[in-house]
Amino acid sequence: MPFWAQVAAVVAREWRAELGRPDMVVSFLVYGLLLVLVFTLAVNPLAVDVRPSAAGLLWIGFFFAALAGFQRSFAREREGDAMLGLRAAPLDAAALYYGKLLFGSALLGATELVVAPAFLNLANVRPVSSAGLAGALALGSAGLAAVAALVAAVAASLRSGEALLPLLGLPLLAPLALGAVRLTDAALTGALVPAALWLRVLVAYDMIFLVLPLVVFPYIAEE
Amino acid sequence: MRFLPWVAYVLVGLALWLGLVFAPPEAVMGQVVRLLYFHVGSAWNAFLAFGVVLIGSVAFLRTRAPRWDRLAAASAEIGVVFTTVTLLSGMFWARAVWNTWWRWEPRLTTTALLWFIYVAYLILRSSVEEPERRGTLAAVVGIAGFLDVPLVYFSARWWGGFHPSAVEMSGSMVLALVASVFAFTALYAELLGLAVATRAAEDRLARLRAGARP
Repeated sequence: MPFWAQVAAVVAREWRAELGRPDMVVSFLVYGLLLVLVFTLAVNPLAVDVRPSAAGLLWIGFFFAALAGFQRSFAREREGDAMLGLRAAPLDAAALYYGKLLFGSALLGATELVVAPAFLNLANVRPVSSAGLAGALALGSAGLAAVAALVAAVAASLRSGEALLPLLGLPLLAPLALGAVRLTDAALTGALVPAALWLRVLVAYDMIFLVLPLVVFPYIAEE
Repeated sequence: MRFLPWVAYVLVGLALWLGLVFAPPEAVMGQVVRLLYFHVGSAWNAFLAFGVVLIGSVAFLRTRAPRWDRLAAASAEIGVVFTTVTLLSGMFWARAVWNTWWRWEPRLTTTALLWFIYVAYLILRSSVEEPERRGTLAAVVGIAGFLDVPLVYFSARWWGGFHPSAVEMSGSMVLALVASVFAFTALYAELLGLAVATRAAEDRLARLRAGARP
């Protein structure tokens, strides 16, 4: 089976698993919306101008939603020893990663479509450029999903993996946080930022962490 | 290698004397400039140590030889210690010269994140029992963590920088700085040898306890 067909098979498998018990959707959405609610309660947009920090708050929400969502994706392979079957299947280990990444990215994107408008409404922020916002979210989310999936795969094979997940993930996501927040801020508030530089950071980050799993994920999966 | 401990201890003693006694105070910063000798020496060795973690991680994934994993683990531990010294000496210096403990500045941001990445690396190691599995997962984090460093550095640099890249120094100050860098590097090599040997002994003990032949 060609590589892309294996990836497609993994995506279909994730879809069926999700239909059976919507673990990931619930993690992504509930986490995202809960954080929006808590941020709004914490900063009180009626009393203070949250526009300068809106981009940062939004991304913190996405970070935790992505880590929680991908955590479920890999944790459910542990339950019932599904990894054993996956290793026995004629499946390239990297295809497993990219299939899960594709499916999880779609869910993350859908979550952002719900969470971002909800937060911006609650926070009373009207984006200056909707296209710029979509671009910043897409570029940032690609790298976010790639790293969250990789770290979740590592954490899934640990005793205290769930507790370690943010500890492993957030430092790795720091450069992405800088770039994605600056670009999102520019799209939301029209803040002047060196957009070309931040685009380069994001693109370099996305490329590095989209390619790295091709090399290292087979080692994580073999066990 | 038998002389390495002595080389390290004598060099560290000499560097301490040069940095704390022999070199003069700086015109503007006064005695505070002496922090520089600890700061630069430990910063360089922190990066060296994390570079060695990368080499050990890649080599372990390729060869599966436990000694590469021991090298990476030992180097990460020492790297975290040197990073802590770098951060603390930098903060004391910043308090005196910038009148603040911390600034979100490229090298400070990068160093702080390095600390978090490799502390997470060590916590990860401590939460896996099975040696080969532990080595594999740690190696993946060791590689990903090191790739993150240049990204952090460059993104933080575009964010704005204040870090001094050069200080006006007299000959004796340069001597003290060079001596401290060599002394800390010798100390790193000595500590690395000790930490690797300790881990090798631990692994051997674990095998003996498991009833296998050593």
